[in-house]
Amino acid sequence: MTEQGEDHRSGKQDGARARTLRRTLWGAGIAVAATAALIAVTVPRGASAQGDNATAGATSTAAPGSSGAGTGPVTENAAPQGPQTGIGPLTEAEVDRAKSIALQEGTPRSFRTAAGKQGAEYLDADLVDDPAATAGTPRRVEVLFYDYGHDQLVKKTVNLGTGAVERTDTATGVQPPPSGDETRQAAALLIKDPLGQGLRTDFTAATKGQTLTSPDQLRLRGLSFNTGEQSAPAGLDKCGANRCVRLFTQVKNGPWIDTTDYVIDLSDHTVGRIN
Amino acid sequence: MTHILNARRALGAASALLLLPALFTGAMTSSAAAAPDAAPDAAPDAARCGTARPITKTLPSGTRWTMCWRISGTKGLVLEKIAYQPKKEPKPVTVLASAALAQVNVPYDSGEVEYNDLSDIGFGNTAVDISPSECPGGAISSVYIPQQELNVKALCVTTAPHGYAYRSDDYDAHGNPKKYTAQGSDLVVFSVSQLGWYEYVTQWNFSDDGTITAKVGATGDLSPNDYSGEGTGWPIGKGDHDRATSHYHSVFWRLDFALDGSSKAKVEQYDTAKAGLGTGSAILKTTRTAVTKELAATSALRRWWRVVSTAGKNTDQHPRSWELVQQHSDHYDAHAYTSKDVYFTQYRACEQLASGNSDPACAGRGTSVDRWTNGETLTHPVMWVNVGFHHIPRDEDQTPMPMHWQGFQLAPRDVTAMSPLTPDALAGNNGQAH
Repeated sequence: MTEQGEDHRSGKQDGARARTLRRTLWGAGIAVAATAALIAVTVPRGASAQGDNATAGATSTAAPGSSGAGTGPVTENAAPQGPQTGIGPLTEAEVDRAKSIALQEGTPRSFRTAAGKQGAEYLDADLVDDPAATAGTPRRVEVLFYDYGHDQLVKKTVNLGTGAVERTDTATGVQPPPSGDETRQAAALLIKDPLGQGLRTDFTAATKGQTLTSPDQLRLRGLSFNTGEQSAPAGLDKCGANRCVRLFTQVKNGPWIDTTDYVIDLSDHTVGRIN
Repeated sequence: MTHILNARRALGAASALLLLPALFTGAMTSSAAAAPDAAPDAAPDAARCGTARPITKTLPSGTRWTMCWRISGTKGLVLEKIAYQPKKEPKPVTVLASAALAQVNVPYDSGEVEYNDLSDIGFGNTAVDISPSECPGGAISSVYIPQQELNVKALCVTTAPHGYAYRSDDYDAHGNPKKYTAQGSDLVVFSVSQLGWYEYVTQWNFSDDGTITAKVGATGDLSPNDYSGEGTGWPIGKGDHDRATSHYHSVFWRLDFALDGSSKAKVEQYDTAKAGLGTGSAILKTTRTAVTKELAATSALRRWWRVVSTAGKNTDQHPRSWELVQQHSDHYDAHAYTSKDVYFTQYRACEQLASGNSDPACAGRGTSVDRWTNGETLTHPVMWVNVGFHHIPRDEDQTPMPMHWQGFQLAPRDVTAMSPLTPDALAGNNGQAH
């Protein structure tokens, strides 16, 4: 919170901008805390994602004592590709194939995506936990979908060896992490909603006058929100039975904007507040 | 001879303490980590995982570790088929079928906000690139992350020094003074996940003495949004204005054992209590309780658990086992599932996260580990370890926050007849001298 809080991960320019924002908005930050408090304490995450040069430079300035570290030869292994057997990371080709097998089976006519179209919203794919798996075991993948028509999670277990869906399990009241698409849809709802006023105001302040109209202007991370998993009631009882999303929100190459109090219900397209 | 025996006993008694440094040192910045040949071996047993590249490493003392790995969207780094091969063992000794995180629950003391970092966001979904400077002398592996639709340089495999393996001033066979001492080393495996302003390191150290250290480190930044009052926050920055909110990190690990290749294992609890006075000191008596049914347990003074192989013995004919070595933990008593320190449940494939477990195949069973601990007979035990850290921020925790670690260890108990690091000259000193 103070002038001393320099962040070595950012470029000079970004750091300066973040600190300027902190100075100018810190007082206001308290005032807008009731909406969406922009607290420019942190520098852009984008800076560290821009490659090893920035990161390595930051590391060496931040850790002068670690002279021996980082000097050894480092090897890099590319991500595995194509079909696999046994135990190990899912490849892109396997994920695509598992998804395609799961989708081929089709869904009941009443199933709906987040956008309200017939079908189910794809969420994620993961290798089946199989303690008995050996090097030759055919790969089995759990493909997760969410059916907004009935607010239920659908898991299809796909055998990549046989190309068959082995089983389908469904459950209500359980909410795995939102997909990237769901996260963007949640942000779009918040941006349009009256409760998004603080976000819009803080975005304009952080970008020296730009207007927030699209999730593409933000760096987003979606969190599912299930009231039943909290240690105290949050007043959003539908969340859990409904699919609800919270957001970590950052201006692209800019500071965080606190939106964590807002809960976007993707099942009924409403925005609510914790507390 | 008496001198040697005393030394050995003292080492045994102090083992838990000796294990501590591995848990709390930042292995990554050590200069010796850049030792030559720190990259994983070319693998003679490459086929162990199938087509995927296994993690294999023979440490300088001769201990070899092998395992398969992958990244799950929710769980993050998953290590599978973990096997330990001490120098003199003819074959790898399988320890775990699977080892992974099972939840990171982060409630704030203000009562205003709470995060479930695995079940709501996911450690694989948030995996970030590891750069060469973060993985000195090691190997970085990329992997496809379905939710990110990207390849991420998500895994670092390297080695790090462990400090003293042992030290003993002794005498050789001719009565000449002889010092036996060695430095230990670890295979280090980790991934990094970026969840908002927090950055977590999920790390496993596999030591040459057989010890497995699981730990999660948190760095990045304190929440920029959570400031609180007296009693729920601590002032950071000038004066008494900004009270950063105290909060918990309750971290769960799920361990599915495969001791000597078998999922069938026994669980035992040990308690040591005062049992009167001897002639020179108090008598402490240790009792064993067989854990035959699912158990939700709380830590206590001198209480520990081990998982015992039904399929393998060491050359002393002692069943091999792995002991849970707990470090300090403040469990979070506002959730049922974080109110215990360890759970043993009967294996079910759909039970993967300690809370917020969303697998529809488990529908109707409840979504947390406390619900699954309901008296079933344990034939294929899964161990769930809960380590809670209550973080009251301090001035020094400001940006970037120094890494704070929490974790536990699994120590081999009777896996080999002596330590795999015992120098050859002392290898015959097994048992009481006659």
